[in-house]
Amino acid sequence: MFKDSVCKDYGELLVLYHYGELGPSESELVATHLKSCPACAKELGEISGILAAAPVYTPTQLETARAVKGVMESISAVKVGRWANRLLPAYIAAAATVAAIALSVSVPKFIDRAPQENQVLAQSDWEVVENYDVIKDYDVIEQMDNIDNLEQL
Amino acid sequence: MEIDEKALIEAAKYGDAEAFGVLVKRYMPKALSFVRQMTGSAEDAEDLVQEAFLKAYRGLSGFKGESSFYTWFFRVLSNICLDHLRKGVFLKKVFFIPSVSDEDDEESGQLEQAPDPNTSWSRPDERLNQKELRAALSRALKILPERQRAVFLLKNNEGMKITEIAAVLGISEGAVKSHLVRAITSLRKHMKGYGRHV
Repeated sequence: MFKDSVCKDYGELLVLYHYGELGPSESELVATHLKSCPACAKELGEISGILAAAPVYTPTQLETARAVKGVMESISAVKVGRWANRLLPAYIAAAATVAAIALSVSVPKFIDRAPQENQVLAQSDWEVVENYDVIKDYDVIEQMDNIDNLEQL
Repeated sequence: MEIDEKALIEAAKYGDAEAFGVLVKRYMPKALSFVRQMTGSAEDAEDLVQEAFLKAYRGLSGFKGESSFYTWFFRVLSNICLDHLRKGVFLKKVFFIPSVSDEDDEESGQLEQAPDPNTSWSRPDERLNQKELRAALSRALKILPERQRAVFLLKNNEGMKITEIAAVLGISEGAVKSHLVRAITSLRKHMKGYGRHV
C-alpha cells in the first residue's frame, strides 16, 4: 500500500488526483494538502513517474495493415453469407413454382389417360350397339331367306 | 459522436463494408495495442481483434448511438479478451496447459524469482534506466489480475475516463477506481522488489 508517511486519507486520492478524476472540491482539497505535506507531494511524484514509464505497445504499420486486411476479408465472407440468406426465400419460391408447374403438366396427363380409355370403350360399345341393329336385321334377313327357301320347297 | 462517424455507422448498418472499413482502420492501432498488452501475444491479439470487429459488424444493428462507437467497440473487444484470458487460466489450472502469454514471453514469471545479485537491480541505491524500468513494468503488468490490468490499460494507455471504463467493463465507477488503485499499488510493490524505490 502507500507509505506510512503518506497521510492516511490522501493515499488513494493521489492516484485519482494524478489522473484528474477528482471533482472540483476534492481536487482543491488535495492540492491544498500537497502544498503543506512533503511526504504526500513526494508520493505523488513517484506515482506520476511510474505511470509515465508504463509501457505502451504501438503496432507497426505492417501489423495494422495485415490486421485490417484480415478483418475486411472476414466481413466479405459475412456479406456473401448475408446475400445468400436474403435470396434463400426467393430460391425456395422459385423451386416451389417449378415443382408446381411440373406437377401441373404431368399429373393431368396421367388422369386423362383413364377417361380416354373409357371413351374408346364407350365408342366401341356404341358401335356394337349400332351394329347390333344390323345384326338383328341380319337375323331377320336370314330368316327371310329361309322363308324364301321354304317357299321354293 | 463525430458526424462523419455517425454517417459511417449508418452506412455500415445497411451493408456498406467500405464504411465499416474506415472505422476498422481508425481504431485498429488502439485495439491491437490494448489486446497485445492484455494477452502478451501478438498472434492472439490479431485473432481476438479480428473476432471483435467481426462481432461488431454483425451486431451493428444493436448500436444505438448512446455512447461513442469507440466505447461500444471496446466493450465488445474487452469482453472477448477477458473471456479468452479466463479460458487460458482455466486450461492452465485444470489441464496443466501453459497459457499463451507464458509461451510467447520467455521472461514471464521471472518477477517471481529472486533478483540476480550480479545485476544492478539488486543494489538498492542503483536507479534503473528507462528501458529497464519499462521492461520491469511490462512484466509486472502481466501478472496483474485481468480486471486490474484492463482498467489500468484503459485508463493509463487509452486515456479513458472512469465513467467510460465502467461502461466498457460493465462495472461500477467505484469498482473501476478500486481496481485502478490496486493495480498501481501492485506495480509499485513489484518495482520495489527490483531495488527501484518507487
